[in-house]
Amino acid sequence: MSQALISTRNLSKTFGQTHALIGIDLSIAAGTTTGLVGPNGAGKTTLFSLLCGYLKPSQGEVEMMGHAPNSPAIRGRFAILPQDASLLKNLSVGKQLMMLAELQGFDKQQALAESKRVLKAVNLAESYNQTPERLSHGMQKRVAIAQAFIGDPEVILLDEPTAGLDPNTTDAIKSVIRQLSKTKTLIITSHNLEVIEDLCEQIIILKKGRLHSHQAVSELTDRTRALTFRLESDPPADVANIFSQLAAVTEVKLGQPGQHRMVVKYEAEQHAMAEIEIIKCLAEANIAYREMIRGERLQDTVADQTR
Amino acid sequence: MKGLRLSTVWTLTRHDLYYALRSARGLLFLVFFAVFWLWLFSKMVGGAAQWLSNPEGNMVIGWLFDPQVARSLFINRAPTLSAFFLLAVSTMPVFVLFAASDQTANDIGSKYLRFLTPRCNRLEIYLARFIGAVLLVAMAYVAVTLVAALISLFVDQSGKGSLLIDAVLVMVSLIVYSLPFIALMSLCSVVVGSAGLSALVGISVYVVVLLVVAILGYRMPGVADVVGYLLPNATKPWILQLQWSTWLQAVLMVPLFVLGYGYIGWRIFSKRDI
Repeated sequence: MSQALISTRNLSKTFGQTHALIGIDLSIAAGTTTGLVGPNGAGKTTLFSLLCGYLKPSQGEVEMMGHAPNSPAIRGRFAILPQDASLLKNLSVGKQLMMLAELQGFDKQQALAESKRVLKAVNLAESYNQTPERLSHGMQKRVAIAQAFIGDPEVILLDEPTAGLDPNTTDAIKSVIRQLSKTKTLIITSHNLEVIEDLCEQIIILKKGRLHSHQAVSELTDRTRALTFRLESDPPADVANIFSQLAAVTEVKLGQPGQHRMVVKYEAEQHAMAEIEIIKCLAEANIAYREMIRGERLQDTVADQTR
Repeated sequence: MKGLRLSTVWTLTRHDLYYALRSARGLLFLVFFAVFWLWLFSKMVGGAAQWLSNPEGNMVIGWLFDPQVARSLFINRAPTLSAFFLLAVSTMPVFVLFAASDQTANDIGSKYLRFLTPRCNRLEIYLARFIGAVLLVAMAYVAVTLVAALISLFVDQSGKGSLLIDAVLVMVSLIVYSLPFIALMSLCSVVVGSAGLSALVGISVYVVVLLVVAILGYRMPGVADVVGYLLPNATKPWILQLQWSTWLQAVLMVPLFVLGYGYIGWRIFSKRDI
């Protein structure tokens, strides 16, 4: 069992009369990549901000590497990508990254080299001398990501790392994160659950300020016991009947009207050919599909759980 | 003071000063400051301040400020340097309000502090921003005092030695006098999210306390005197005389103001959401 690197005990935060977070108990193991998700207003940003020390808890406590988030003992050992923070307007991004590297203990020469290294990691080496004002939103985001990669932090907290990025840059950033996840503990918040599914092993789901679940992503997506179909059109309401002859099928779930989605769950242990039989049933019933994936989409299961 | 690293404070201060000299806020302050003093120096070069050492001029200053101040500045000292000092002290609140209004305010608004907090603690940020503002204001006043001393050297009939000592005393006095104002702006800039609002809060605090002092002054002059000590300009009468005894009194008072304003600001900054 890995040691808990980040933990919270009875963590609550209120803003006036609003209870943004209520009694959150969490334990995040070292070396894991954890996604923090939930619908709008669930308390993701509040929890993220409490973990980072931006906000002070109304009740309870946060421990990161055995210390409070603001403790000098862990300075430089964790890095953060804040979602909506802006860089200084009139200073080149290279100079700003150099300053931040100096604050992490690098001398001037090392800070220069480090700032160039992290900018290169996010494909922005050519923008070293440009001010943030001259960069697009996506490029500014990449600079903000670059600052989180300065030095050798043990824990990296990323708030919406791919929001506002084009697909190519998203892939590049995901690749950098994937690389980092091999050696570091990461917490990622994102509304894009494909990113979470792609990068995270663990998922924390918040609902109305409370911890709904904290489990492995694979448990949610059920890769070995479900097939998800994207159909040509919405399936008939009695579509479950076409599988009535199949003992392996345990449940048929339909998406919301217009989603053209159907999930078929089955017993894999005793029915080795279950997947083929399910596909055959669909063909016999003349139900065409555009795409089939093994398991459930994280997006769908989270949506189902938090609805 | 737990966890305060002086090397980090110095790095932050260096960065703050570097940015202040490149930001619109810092440049605007320096431009307004330079234009104001260039205009006044252009008058002083013609010997305009020498009239103040005449009995009539001295009487006007005595009436406006204090006869002791008038005698100390314009009879015993070079009038041009003294006129500069009087104007510098009188206009100090406006310029400091401008120069020191954005110690943490804009960075709270833009959430830039979120890039700093994983690397340094709030006390280091708060202290560094205060020191950065002090250095910016001090550099500006040292520069204009040197110019004023040079003009005085050519315009007034004072000895070089005494002028040099007075110039140093003026320089130090201006820096010391600015400290409570900068500390007040440290406090104002932690409660709001923009430099403009911070300046507005500073002006409002100043005006409200002045009004309270004025109203109390009619009925309870003793209480008004005590309330008047809440303002950062409480040391003005002592500083203005440029006499060692009163000057030392002012120097001893200044840390109380700095610590008072600074502590309240720090308590707010250490607990507030950023």
